Amino acid sequence: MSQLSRIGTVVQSDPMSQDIFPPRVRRWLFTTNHKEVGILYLVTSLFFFVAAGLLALTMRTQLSVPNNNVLTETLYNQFVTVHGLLMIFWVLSPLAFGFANYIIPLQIGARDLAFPRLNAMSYWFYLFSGVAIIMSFIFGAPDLGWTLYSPQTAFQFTPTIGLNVGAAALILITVSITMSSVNFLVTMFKMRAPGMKLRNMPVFPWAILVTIFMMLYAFPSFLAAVLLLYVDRAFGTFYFSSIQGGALLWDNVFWFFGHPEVYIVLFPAIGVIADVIPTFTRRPLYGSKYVIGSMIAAAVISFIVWGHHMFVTGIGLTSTKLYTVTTIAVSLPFDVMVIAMIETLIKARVKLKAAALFALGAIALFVIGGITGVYLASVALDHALRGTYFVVAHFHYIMVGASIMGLIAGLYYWFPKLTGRMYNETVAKVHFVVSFIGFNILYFPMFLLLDMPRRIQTYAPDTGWGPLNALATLGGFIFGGAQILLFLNLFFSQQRGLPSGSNPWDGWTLEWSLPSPPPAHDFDTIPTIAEDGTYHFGNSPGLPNGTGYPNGSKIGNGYSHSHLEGLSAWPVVVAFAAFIFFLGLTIGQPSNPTTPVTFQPFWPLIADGAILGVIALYGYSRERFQVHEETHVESWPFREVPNVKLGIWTFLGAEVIFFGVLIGAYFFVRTNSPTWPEIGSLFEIRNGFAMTLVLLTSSLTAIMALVSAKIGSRNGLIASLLGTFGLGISFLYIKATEWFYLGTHGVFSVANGLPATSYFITTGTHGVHVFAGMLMTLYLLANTLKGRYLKGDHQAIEHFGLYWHFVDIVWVFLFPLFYLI
Amino acid sequence: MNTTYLYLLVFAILVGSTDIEVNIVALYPSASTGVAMLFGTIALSYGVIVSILLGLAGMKALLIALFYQHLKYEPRSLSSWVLIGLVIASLLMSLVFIQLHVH
Repeated sequence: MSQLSRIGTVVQSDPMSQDIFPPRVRRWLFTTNHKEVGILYLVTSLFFFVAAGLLALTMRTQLSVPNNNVLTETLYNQFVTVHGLLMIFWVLSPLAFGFANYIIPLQIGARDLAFPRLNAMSYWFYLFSGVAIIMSFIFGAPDLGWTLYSPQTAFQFTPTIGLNVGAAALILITVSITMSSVNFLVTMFKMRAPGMKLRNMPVFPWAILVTIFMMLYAFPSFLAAVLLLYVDRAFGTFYFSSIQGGALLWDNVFWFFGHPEVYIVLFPAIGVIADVIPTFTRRPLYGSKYVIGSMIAAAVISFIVWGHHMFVTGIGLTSTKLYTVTTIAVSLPFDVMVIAMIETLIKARVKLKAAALFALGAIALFVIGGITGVYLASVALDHALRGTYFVVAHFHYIMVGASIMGLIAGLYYWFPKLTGRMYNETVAKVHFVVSFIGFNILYFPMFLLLDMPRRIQTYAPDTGWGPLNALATLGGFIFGGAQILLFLNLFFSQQRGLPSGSNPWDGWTLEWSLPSPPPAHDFDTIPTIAEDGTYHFGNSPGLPNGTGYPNGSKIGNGYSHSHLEGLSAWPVVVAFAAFIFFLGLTIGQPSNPTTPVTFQPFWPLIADGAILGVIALYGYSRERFQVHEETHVESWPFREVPNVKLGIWTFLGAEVIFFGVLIGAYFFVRTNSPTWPEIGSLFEIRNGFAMTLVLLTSSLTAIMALVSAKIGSRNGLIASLLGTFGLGISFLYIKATEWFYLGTHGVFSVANGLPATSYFITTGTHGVHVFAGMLMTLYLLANTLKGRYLKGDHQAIEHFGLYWHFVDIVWVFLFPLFYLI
Repeated sequence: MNTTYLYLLVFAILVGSTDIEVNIVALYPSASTGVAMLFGTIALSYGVIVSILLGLAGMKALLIALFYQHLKYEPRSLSSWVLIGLVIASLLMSLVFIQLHVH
């Protein structure tokens, strides 16, 4: 095993990884350095960008003339779906988080993210989830649009298992995003350079921070929704295929996630633009605090606008009025952001470098996309325009025009920092001009296709849609072709470009104070931010409040810069194990194609994934990869809270949303059902009572384990952990007995009604959490037997307790909900 | 108070509350006779009982969070962080639920 001391310092690398892989491969497979992980994110997301773009160009070719037959109906639908999924989940956010990985620790004066191995694991989960979504084509890719509307997801309408594989991909990437969110949040709260108050953080980290908050609330909801979708298809449950649940349940849980997701992919681009514009205008961002405040306001409001996607679902007049108001309201903070950008530009002498051009282009396109979005807030207009190419044009002006263009601005802006070389400015400007023209030829005609339904594979000549579609296709190829310039420019420039120096743009943020590319350890000394909040380090003497390069407070860092490799083999192995485990769950062909149950486990893969996963997690936990917490950094408001504890509480917050959606779905189907089994008619209350007592007692033993560890009582700790483990087994035994009894009596299998569906899935998900907790108990027991946790190093016991008590709290609610009411 | 005693006291309250939860089911209106009390027979409406049960569950969850998860003793920033997160999550989930039923 690797022997690591201090942050990411490899003392003795993993022999397995050393022997098998050449150094260059090892570096990229096992890196935990935020900059290298950032580059991995950037490169991978650009690969998926190309894949999604090729799908889009094929679709445009299909639509270029009436009655075309380049693509079959099914293939066209699959392309539409996978294109949308790829762009939203595998391109936009990961591209932004590639920058976030690389740049944010530099901008806030941190040495790395709070949990470097978790960061690497997030990336590998992302990569393998992308492989899974591409692989879904082998099994009949999802073909019902990225919104995966119910009841089209039901087995009878989508019998191919490609949708199951797609669901597995979505689950994997949601896990990746959740890990990433926790990591960034702890980093930005706890690892800022001395003097960098939250209010002084640059806008880009703020944009990412707000994005993370939205992710933490939105993605657990989505995870729960996809889990329910998967179990409906795999086990024949009824959440989305019943009248009581059905399309409306999916619409709500999906769009509760889906609308904030729009801002999740947009805000990072706004953050990039807010960094780029001041640099190239040589002026501070006008009203930067209002811009940040507007982002926060938009993030909050974004969670109460989802109903505008459902105006035609019959949600009622009151709701439609409410959502019209909130949707118009959410446009106001964006007005503030745009005005701030414009105010910054007024009378400024803008250096029209490629990054600035893309940023300006993104603002212009965002204004068009935003205004056309306000049209859709009107119920009357939405009734007319929904499901047409007007909507397609609107959201592409946001997603591509604002987000992609903004992020490309970031690519040009930070390319010199990443590579130490300049790109070819002329080619980059041509890239912008051709992209901007191509984009508008591609999407503007779609505003005029007011009556053309989206997602149709072809159309008749007499519709009159042919010329505008031909124009849009031409624009698509111009826009797509322009991106070749980007890739060629970046590829050759990173090899042969002129040296960029540390600060080619006279940038004001901290990353520009470092050499390009920065050294592995980022800062020789952690900088200190001046009391007045300014910290620009540009080499232009005319900059306001210039303070020169920071020499900071010379905080002793305890590092030896020469061996900061920070390699770990386990993140990629854990992610790969999860990948093959989920593939095993989803790729087996159903033995009986007429049954609405597609679950046909492919046991070899499942077993391999499970075994490899256990080994990898054990190796991960055994690896001495200690992350040193700096003591003098800016960490308000969590100065006294250790990083890991803050991370666990944040993760538990995401779990609250996850279980909240499961319980909400149960409430929904139950209150919509005309009848429900009488209390005590199916479940023995005494079983529930017994399980509750067992779990409450296990919480007591878990807290006693902490007490024992604190007072150094080895026997007490062992007894308490054994007690917790035994009670966990007892809980699962009673649960299994109950399940077995209900199943064998034939009246209550998972697929014979909503009471069974909601009971088995909700309590089953909780049971999986109990099982995971028991594995942790075993690990803690093994370490206790070796004498750990008794000498003031009891944090692991405490952290386990936080999780275990949370699992207990969930059951405290499930017991009355399923057994007593 | 000695922390061990405190944990035991919390445990006793949790078990006692669970016992109340189980027994309160007897007060459902469907139990035609209700429950003989000192001053006669009572039966509570379904809504009242559900509210009591969920209230008890909330109280138990709060006790576990405050004392077993140590939120009571954590810095105020962390307890506020959890509380604010929980309140926002609850509001959002309630909103989803209300939305589902306004329809």
